[in-house]
Amino acid sequence: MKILSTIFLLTSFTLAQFNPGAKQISLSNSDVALSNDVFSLFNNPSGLSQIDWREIGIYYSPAPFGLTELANAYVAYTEPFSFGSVAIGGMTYGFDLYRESKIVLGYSYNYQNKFFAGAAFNFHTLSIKNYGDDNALYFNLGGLVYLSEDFRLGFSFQNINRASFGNDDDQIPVLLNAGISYDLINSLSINAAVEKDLRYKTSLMFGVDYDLIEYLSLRSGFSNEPSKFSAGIGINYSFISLDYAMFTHNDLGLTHQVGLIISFNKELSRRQQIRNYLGIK
Amino acid sequence: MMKIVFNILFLTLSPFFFINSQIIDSTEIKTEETLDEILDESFVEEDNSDLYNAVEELILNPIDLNTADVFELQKIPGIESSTAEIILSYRNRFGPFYSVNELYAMRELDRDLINRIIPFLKVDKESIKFDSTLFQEDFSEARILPSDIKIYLRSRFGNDLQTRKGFEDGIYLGNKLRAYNRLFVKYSKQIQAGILIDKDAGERDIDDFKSFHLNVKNYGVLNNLVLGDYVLEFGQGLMLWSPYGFSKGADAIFPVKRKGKILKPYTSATEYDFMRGVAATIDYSGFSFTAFYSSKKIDANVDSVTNKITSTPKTGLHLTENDLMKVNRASEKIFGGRISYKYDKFFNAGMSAYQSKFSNEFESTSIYDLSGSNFRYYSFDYDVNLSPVNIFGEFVYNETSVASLNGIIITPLNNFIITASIRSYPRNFINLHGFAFGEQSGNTNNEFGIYYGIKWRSNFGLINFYYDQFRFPFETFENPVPSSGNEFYLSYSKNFFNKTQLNLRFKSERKDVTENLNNIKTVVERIRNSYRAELMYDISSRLRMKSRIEYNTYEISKAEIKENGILIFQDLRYVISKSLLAYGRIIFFETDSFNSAVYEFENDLTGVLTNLAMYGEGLRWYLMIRYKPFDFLTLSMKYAETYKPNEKSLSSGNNLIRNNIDNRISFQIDLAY
Repeated sequence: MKILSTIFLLTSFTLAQFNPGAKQISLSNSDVALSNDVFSLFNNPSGLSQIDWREIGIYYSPAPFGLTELANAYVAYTEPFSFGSVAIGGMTYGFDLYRESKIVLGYSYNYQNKFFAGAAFNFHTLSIKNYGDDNALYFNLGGLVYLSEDFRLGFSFQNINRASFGNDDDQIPVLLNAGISYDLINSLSINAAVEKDLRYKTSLMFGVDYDLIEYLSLRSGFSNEPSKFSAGIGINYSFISLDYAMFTHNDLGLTHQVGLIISFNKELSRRQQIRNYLGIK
Repeated sequence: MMKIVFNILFLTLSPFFFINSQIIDSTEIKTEETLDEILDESFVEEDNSDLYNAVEELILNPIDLNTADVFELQKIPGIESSTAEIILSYRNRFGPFYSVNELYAMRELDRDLINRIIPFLKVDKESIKFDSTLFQEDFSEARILPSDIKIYLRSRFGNDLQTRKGFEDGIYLGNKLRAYNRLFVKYSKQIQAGILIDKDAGERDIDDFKSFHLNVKNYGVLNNLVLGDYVLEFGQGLMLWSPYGFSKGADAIFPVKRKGKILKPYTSATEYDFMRGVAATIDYSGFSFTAFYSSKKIDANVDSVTNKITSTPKTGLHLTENDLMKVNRASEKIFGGRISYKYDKFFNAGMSAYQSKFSNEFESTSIYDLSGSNFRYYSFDYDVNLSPVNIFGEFVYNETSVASLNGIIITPLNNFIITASIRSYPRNFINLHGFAFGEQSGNTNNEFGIYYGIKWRSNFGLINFYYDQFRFPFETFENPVPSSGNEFYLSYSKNFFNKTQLNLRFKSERKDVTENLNNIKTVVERIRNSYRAELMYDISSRLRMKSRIEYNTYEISKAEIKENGILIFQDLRYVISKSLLAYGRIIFFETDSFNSAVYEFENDLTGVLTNLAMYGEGLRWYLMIRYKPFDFLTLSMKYAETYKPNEKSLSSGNNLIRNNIDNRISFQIDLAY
């Protein structure tokens, strides 16, 4: 019985998982116009070239909605070059009867420290025991613009080539995500975004990211489709950021996730280093 | 000697000299404007007069800027812990305040905010006070009333001009008159005695509801003592609270955190959920101890065979023979106490407990309902202030389960406040005297919810928004199965030109409701949206205009119900002279049915605030006049009329009116001497 209900959940939630990054999830994924860490690779790759340092991130969600079968893990790495940032990442999801994995290669270009454009290539495989395997190749595109020093606009298209598994259409989400991000003060940004998945209702997403002190960040947000709240904290010490996020789905309950990001040659806080790099006072 | 006589003459005549020295009704206008900021018309018709009284009381008993602490200042609407801290750090740096206007010198505080909070604050100038010792020596026996005694009398009468079915058929025992009389006698700010009698339309006795209290404050270590009727407000209201409290409203931050007054005399006419007995609070170096005892008769339906209580009606209406049978059928005895500890500005926590014993046992219909006659509650509440973060909450244990509410308010900037709170009220947690934040107007049972709100006084206007998600894990009165819902609110207000304010508001509520689909009861989603635009314009300092247009939609798509309603009103406030004020409003409404009703608060006689549902097709208008011939006397009158041209009758049941007009006239006298 549990297997049955799990399969049901898998098929209904499966490919509509939330994009990774404990920070992203604690902001209810409203961060399309913020995209300032290595996990941007999976949502808005254009944000990667805001980061002028090397960064590795791992993310783990042990039991979404209390089901260990839905556990998923991501890893990502980004390297800044003179011609733009290049990143590579991977994902694994599921359990022995049902497994998905994905390899992502991303590139982001910084034009005059104001415009950022990015693309990501995803190689996604799915295997269901006793049914067989399938794989798909799809592309994501993203952009990020600084309209002023404290106001950003961002968007991303995911799966623009409408790749799918099996004979059914749209098994992999085809979606557009667009939003704004505003730095109210140096340590606080407000993010809002809308996301339209081809198959689902438009979702409004909102999140606030606040650095209470240099070492501690507080985040929270919500989205309306599905109705959920999120909150999280980040501990930033030296080259390590440890992030925790939780969100609650009105019908399915709580989910916890953690992430770890290691930044090389980053001397200041994330926001400050990016500001310095982009020449914002 | 000559000079003294002159002084006395001057003193006795001073009320006449100063008649026109103040703008009329400043308390009333400030109360109304403050409530306008906090309250929002909900989708339920309700009487909010108690909230009016609560705000009015705050204004009449302002908080002393020089003695208040962080927790006390937060009782004022608009002051969060961070604002309170700014005010206190200013006091610590520059010494005591000489005037509340010194607040304007603080650059950290927004001018708008200061205007809003000043009515709630005072600076006690004990030293600058008129030297009265001289008179006491010479003329003490000559004075009829010691100047320290103050009398406040409020007397209100109202009458429906149409006769309702209950009166025509003789079902209602009394006459149509509504009467409310309240008298307070205060002696030197420390002692107050009060008596209140109230009669609803259709009740037989003018003193159908009676209330009395004697209150002594700040007498040595004795902080507060009440004999008679009182209410207790502890923590976040999960265990003990007055029968009213603020709920989700126009201000996204203020209602989330309850600021309990611990103990206060009961001064309102809601006829249930207060205590009758004795209670006292003693303060001792950071600690505060409260003990209370109450014994009160309550209205109840008692099964004649089992002698068990089947229900406890809380309307307070005793109109028919049937109602009178329930009066005082049972009684409740309560005793309990509280210990709290306050540490500087950082920390305030308390532990409380009470036991309640009813004269009869409760008849339970399900395993989760009240059973037995003895109930015990234990609570822990806290309020921790680590600027710019404020954490607060309460846990209550009723010997079967634990209910809790925890919240956080973060103020990264003075004009930007975020709050979040989580509430969890289990199905088997049944509380007798709480009123906590939530979706069920105070009820702390069968609900889990998360609230998220932001208030931002930005350069381009004031933004308030909240998102509240709630779930009822077990069946409710409306739904036979677990249900859920959420609510979204966004408002924006801005002064576009000098003296012109635009308010925009959007509210959306989704909730599971039960509908009959093909004769099968099905739980379906109901969506209610409300769009409002409002323009306030001060034509002159005497004349204010307010125009509103509101459009509501009500949709249950599965049941193919889609309705809408619209309301337009024009409102005028005219200060004719310094002692005469007139309010008028004309409301046009057109809605498909009661479902899509549009709600509006209206200015009423002082101390009355109702949220009225406008539905069907018609118009309503009212005129209110407030006249203050002397400083100590206010007379007011209101005439209101609802007219629905296409109807043959209004309202229903015993309240049916066989006419298409519903009109009422009321008078009030306020005496403060």
